[in-house]
Amino acid sequence: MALPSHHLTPQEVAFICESELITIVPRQRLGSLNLISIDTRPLVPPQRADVPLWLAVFLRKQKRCNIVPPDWMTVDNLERLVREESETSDFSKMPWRWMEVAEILLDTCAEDLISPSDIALHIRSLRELRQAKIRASMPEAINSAYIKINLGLMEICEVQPWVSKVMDGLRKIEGEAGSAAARKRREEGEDEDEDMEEEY
Amino acid sequence: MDIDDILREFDSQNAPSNSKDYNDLLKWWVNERAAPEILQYQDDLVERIMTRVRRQIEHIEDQTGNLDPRANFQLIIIQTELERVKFLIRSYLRTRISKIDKHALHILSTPALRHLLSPSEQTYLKSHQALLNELYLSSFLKNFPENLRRLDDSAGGISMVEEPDLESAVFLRVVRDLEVNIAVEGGETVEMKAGDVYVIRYSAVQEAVKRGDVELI
Repeated sequence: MALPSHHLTPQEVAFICESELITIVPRQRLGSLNLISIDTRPLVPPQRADVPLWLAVFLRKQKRCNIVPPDWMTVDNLERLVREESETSDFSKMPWRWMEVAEILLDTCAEDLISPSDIALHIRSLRELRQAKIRASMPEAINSAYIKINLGLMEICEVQPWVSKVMDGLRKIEGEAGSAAARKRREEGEDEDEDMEEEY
Repeated sequence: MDIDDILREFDSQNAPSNSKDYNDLLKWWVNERAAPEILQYQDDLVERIMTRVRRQIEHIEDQTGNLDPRANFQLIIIQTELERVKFLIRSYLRTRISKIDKHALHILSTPALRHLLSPSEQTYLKSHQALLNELYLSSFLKNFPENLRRLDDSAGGISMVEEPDLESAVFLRVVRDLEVNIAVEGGETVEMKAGDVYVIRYSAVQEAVKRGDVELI
């Protein structure tokens, strides 16, 4: 294991995503499992059950279950989202882990989805539309004290390295030229928190 | 579904459930990764999960002789999960160690920060630092004039002790609605709504992270 970097890597984002629960339809019986992170109920076909995504993928690869895609991953809904996304300048509300979930499901169980190629296409359009918006909005936003950025986890993981670097860089430039308060703070080198309470 | 299943489900709703512990560990792992400073060690949480890891390893050892294909398959799943949890714990601890190494002198000289460490982390910090000091001294510091041998010198306005940059930008996701004071001229406040994602300097949300009102990313 390499030394952990400051930001999550895409692999780690996928790892987190795989801990999410997803609904499956088992094809085979499987007794209940006492796992560390969850106690699963016995799987009895064709009763639906919720299991962690990594387990669902594992069972699916061995053809022991079918995965039930989440509600939002239908062609109709995605078409609507693409339309919304291209009409407004805000980011439309997507599930927190939409990109990762879509990627994993398209990868492992395309046959469980209805018209997977359309779904893949819409997912890609969404992603490109949103990336274009990020690029367009950042130059202005990045200079403010905070940015509200309602993206999914994987999208954040993509922009995080450069956004935080630029923000830190700008702050340092400002600090050099900066206000008397900032300079005073630097000189005293005191606990930043206490200083703030005194000032405001 | 029989009565045992119903009872088990009832139980899992009451006790601090396994999945809550696991999700908490995920959360603190990510927090620790993103925060510039070292956070409170999650003593009880790690202990609870480690107990379960040990029990699971015992279970696997008991079952390895079992030749029943069904039990064997279950064992593969259990082992896969065990590896996932082990990865998580290792990465959590290593993240902390890398921070301890980076800010060793700062943590050593600040008692409030030392209390955030687990006993074994404290031992590590002290012995590692002692070894480093000894190495530096024997390899080059001994040739320096007496007044230049210190490792925590702050002469010339620059401190040798590296401190975490609490003003650095962090990404966060709001768990519970809250108001945050941003430290800019005018003392503006931001009303954060649950589910929103922000980029903001760490010092503005430092307390909110510790309270669990926001999760870093």
